[in-house]
Amino acid sequence: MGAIIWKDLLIELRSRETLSSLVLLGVLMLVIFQFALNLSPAETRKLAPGLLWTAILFSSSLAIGRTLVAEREGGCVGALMIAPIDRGSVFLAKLVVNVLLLSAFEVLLLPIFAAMTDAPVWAVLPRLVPVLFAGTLGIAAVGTLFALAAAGTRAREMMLPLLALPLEIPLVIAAVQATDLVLGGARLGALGAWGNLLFSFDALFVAAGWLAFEHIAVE
Amino acid sequence: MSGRPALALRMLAASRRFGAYTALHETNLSVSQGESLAVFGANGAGKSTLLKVASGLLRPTAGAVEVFERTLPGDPSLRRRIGVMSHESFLYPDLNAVENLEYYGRLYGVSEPGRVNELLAELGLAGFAERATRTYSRGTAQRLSLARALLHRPDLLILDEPMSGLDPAAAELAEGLLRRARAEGITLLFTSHDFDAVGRIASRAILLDRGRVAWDSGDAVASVEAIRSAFGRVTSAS
Repeated sequence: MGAIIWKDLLIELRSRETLSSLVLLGVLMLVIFQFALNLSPAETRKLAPGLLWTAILFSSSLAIGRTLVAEREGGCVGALMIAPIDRGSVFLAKLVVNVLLLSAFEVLLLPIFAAMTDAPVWAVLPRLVPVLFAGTLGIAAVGTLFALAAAGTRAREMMLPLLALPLEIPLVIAAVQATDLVLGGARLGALGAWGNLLFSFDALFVAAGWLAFEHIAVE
Repeated sequence: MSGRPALALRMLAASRRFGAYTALHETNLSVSQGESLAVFGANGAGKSTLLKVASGLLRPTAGAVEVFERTLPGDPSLRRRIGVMSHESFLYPDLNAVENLEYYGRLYGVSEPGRVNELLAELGLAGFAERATRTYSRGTAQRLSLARALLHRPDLLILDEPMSGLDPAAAELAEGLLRRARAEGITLLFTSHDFDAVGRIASRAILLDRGRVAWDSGDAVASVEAIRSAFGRVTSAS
């Protein structure tokens, strides 16, 4: 597992293609929403959690798809499938890489988001980080599972968002609601059903990916 | 105890279809441990499919494949005993030769110090060690792919046209490595269009024709003449 994480991070550090594309896409989405919806400052602040998670969700498709590009070049997916490692470990390694990549993207996006929406990000940061992490983990778990499963198909670029996005809807709703509560000053313990949904979604899809990947990833 | 030699590979009525097209038809094939089996045939005969099914890169759509008497894909300890060199390089273009081999070494649990440098030297790749494989010529990438397949000292080595794209000097190096592997008792299964190389490396040869084994040299050592004659006979008949 460590070998796959080391290799993926080395490739990303060397090219920095994915992270720079993600930040650009995330910022563009925030700007487009602001101008397209012609929001007043009060409306912007109200819709800020939705804007943030929309930017993260759509950027995640790009990020997760990119982490498999290197595997497809030279047929390395095949080498990974016949390597003497547990296939669940392949899923977990790719999940860790995707969570790290998306977290780095969020670190860069957050100051821009805070400046554009005037959301009190810095005041609630210690409570916002766990919510961001929980949402990111869920998005990455679903995306990684389907990206690896679709890696051998011809229409993989199209398949990933088509398969992953519908499943991620409940997670994004919970993440938006939890972020809204945290930005409004709520403590983590007061997130109630939204917090539970985030936690349950993460547990379900990390476990499902780990257990099912052996059977999903064939050739 | 029976006198039957232990099997490295057994294909039991293994077929592989791609949609309506059947690339491999109910193939039964046994390869004993230590044997060096060359698979040859015309383009599209099913050689690469046979090797992919034998290595676990493709699952048979019918039948089964056993390696060292355990069904593929098997557990990690079984897959560790197989070394594969495919048509695809299995190399990461943004990593250099050392990084690629170190990565695969970690995946395959290679703990032998100096193994990477030893292989790079044996395949004449020491001068390319620090260059990203994206910059390699086809022949250089081919040599590194061979090094990758040999890295973990597999018991069964499956190679799809290991000598194609190599210049004469590199082909000689690669052939020397394969002959040494054979002498060390490693089971070889490889495809080639080079009858002379097949004659020098293989202990047995089979000819595939439209996804079926059309000729098998049997236990007798395959001679270049026998291979040429079988190839001529089968291809003219089809």
